[in-house]
Amino acid sequence: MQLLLVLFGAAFTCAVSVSLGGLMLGDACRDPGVRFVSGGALLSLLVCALCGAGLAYPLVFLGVGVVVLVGRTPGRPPSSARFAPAPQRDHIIRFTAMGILWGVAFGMFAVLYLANAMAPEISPDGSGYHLGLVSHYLRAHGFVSITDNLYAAMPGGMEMLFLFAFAFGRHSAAAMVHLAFFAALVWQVFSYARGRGFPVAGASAALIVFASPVAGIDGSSAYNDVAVAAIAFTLFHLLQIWDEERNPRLLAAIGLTAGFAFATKYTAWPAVAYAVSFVAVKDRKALGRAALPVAACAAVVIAPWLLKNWIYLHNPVAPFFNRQFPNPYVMAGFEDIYRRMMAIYQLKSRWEIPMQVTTYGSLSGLLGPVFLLAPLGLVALRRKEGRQLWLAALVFSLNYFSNIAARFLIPPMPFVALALALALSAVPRLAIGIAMLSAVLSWPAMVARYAHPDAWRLLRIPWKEALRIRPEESYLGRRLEHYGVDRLIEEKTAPGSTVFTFVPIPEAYTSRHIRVEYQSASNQIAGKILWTAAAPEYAPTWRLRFRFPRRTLRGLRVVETNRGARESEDTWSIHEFRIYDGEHELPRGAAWRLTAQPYPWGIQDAFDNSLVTFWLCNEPLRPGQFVAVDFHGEQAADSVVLEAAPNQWAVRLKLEGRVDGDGDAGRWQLLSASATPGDAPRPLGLRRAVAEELKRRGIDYLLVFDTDNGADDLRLNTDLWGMRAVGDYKGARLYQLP
Amino acid sequence: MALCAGCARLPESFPPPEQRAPLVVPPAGTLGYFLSMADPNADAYLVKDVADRGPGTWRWAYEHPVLRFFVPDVPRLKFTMVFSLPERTLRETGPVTLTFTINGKLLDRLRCENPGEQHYAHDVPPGMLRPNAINLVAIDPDPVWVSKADGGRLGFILSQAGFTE
Repeated sequence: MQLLLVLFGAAFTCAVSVSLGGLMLGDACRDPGVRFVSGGALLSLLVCALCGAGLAYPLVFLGVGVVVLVGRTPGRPPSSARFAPAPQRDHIIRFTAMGILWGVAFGMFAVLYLANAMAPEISPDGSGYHLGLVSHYLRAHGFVSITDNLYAAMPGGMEMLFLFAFAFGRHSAAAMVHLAFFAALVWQVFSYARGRGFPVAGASAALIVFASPVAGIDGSSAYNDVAVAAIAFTLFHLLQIWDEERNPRLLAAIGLTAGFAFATKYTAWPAVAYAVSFVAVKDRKALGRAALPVAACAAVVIAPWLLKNWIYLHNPVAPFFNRQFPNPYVMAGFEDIYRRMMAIYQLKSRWEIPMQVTTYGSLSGLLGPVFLLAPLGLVALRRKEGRQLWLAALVFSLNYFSNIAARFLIPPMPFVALALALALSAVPRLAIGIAMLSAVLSWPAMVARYAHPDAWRLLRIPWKEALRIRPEESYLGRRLEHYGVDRLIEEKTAPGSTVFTFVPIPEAYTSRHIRVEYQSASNQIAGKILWTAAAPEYAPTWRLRFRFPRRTLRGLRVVETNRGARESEDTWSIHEFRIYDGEHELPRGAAWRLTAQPYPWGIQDAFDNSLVTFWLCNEPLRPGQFVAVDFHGEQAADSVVLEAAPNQWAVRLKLEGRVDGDGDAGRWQLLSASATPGDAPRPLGLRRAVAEELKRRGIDYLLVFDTDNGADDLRLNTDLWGMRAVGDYKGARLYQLP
Repeated sequence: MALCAGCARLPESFPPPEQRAPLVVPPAGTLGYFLSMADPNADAYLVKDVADRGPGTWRWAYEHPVLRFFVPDVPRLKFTMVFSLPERTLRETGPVTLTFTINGKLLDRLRCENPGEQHYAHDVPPGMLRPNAINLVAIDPDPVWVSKADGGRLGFILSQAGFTE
């Protein structure tokens, strides 16, 4: 039954996509790959609208799908036009030795991918956030405000198709939809080339793409990189057809497909510029008027995602560009670190990239060693098709250096593969030979001989798991890291609970609300609050005292004067900002107004009389950063004490005051150029106070791995934290907060 | 997009939030549960046999040093101490045993064989402390180092001591 639901979910999603593509394109394009992908854009938009309306129910999806499928029937074009023309009877498909060789090569990989896609989903991101969010949307029957998971802010064009399939066939159905995109990509590489008179090069390139190890594992998982590649190639294909036929009906599909690229992954934004520019340039005699419907249709697909982010996160392009769109949900400092990390990973030099992404695979997979020959593809520039292919390859690799993982090269890969095959086809059978070599080198048993052990790749054909002859549970328990933790959470926590963790877990297999430390500003702050009692350097035992002659003031501020070391992560924080007049601390008046730069949203935590909460700058030290209080009146004071944690070795602060008589526009005057540091004892009851604060911030359980900072303290002093250990699984312990 | 960026504004300011109940921290200038020799109020904790002054962050403890602490009513406290035995004195005395007593009851004995800074922590058994009252802690070094020049008797160098969770 489960297997039937998987197959139904995937097949139904694909059929509805193809039908929508057919409705949109009519006779303008009969390529099934083009119809599937461009129809997928429409279905994604439709599901997005249903999510926005809170109508994400399996029955609604079923109804919509049936209407599309039935609605398509009366309007069918004559049967002769419904299908792509029968392939030319060339030597590619004849039952010759060569034909059989092609069949075996493609067939082996098709079986490998189909089995892995049908087997329970075990990919890190697929079982983590791609399907974790899909599962969340289905439970909530649509979009809900998710401000503590940055992945929820990524455009979810592909996730909408996953959701449509997931509603019926769960995780594997979603992965199979992605595999369908892979098939559509490979088919189009061939069909585009065949249509332009170089079928052998097309078949060779299709096999090179199909055999690519990273495309194989990505395309048979609930990821979206292969989908972006399929969308990119469909866009390219549509543009070439439009350039040849100038059928205006193609323009809507071009726009929707370009928009779908952006809606699937931010890094595919050049698709929109590419489509609009291409049409505008080719249509320059009509002053580029044809570009208008393209841009408009692209905007229709893109707008919901920007709007959703604007409404929920105050940043249309969240989780990026947080300085341009300041918001409390993702800290700009985190974004800097995230970008830096994605741009280099663990490499010492970018010169390592070519070998890593083609052969060794330590950048999350490998394209295949054949891509070391990619520069030979430049020979194809002497042909018009070659120039178009390289232009598209350039467009879809524009963002590569923002994330150098091999899978971010999947979108330009088909263009490069085809250009390479086109160049090689100058020598008889060379392209075929290289394609076959690529297939041999890309088979899992061969990859193990030259790739690094950590390379992300498929390992075998799990056909028993695919056919559900072996139960899902045991496969997931063996192959999916932390699946057992999911089961522990499901068993030991109440429905609706929120679990905080420093380590991502497969959210797609738990119905609980998981908050991962790095995934939002509020989570990062919660993590540091936990460390306040678990790690001595985070405890509020540091005191900075500023003294100055007693004065009547309208406001006070501390200003950072030091610049952190370049590329360092030195930052600063304040647990409490106390102002004194002699021995007497000024009570925080209701008229006071507090602010900070950066991250003003956390400033109240430095004025709440609690030593477990704090304002956190979370950006590298920079002169001019400040925390300020405006009394909205006059107050006499002679000292300020900052209560803080000692983990801010590079911070250097000065104290400034706004003096009576300066007026609101008055300038800040220096009161003290530096502070006298001192120590204070660690507060008693700190652990319990931290636990209570985390509870106050909506966390019900802590999931702590033995390798986490502070794990030992939680394990040894659980009673002092006021927590209850409710279970553990292979070094992961679950604590219930008081 | 540019329009959106133009509309994006930082909040100007916030009022002070509701004030929370404070944690147990001794007010500055009063007797608390933890002594740091860097604290200007350190003398308040010293009952006897600790040097009147030091360089700021540590002082010599002599033959029978006694400290006092005001200990709040908190379950499961540890007595912790950061101290040092200089290589020069240890070389002459050999291993030093520190005997810890709280309110006259034996807490622990610690044998120190190596010079340098050491961090000591020991759980205090229930009932040994008087909650919300002053408690006396004695740390007796044996043997002490005796100066051949003036007969001065030095035990160990004390930096921090007190009760933590």
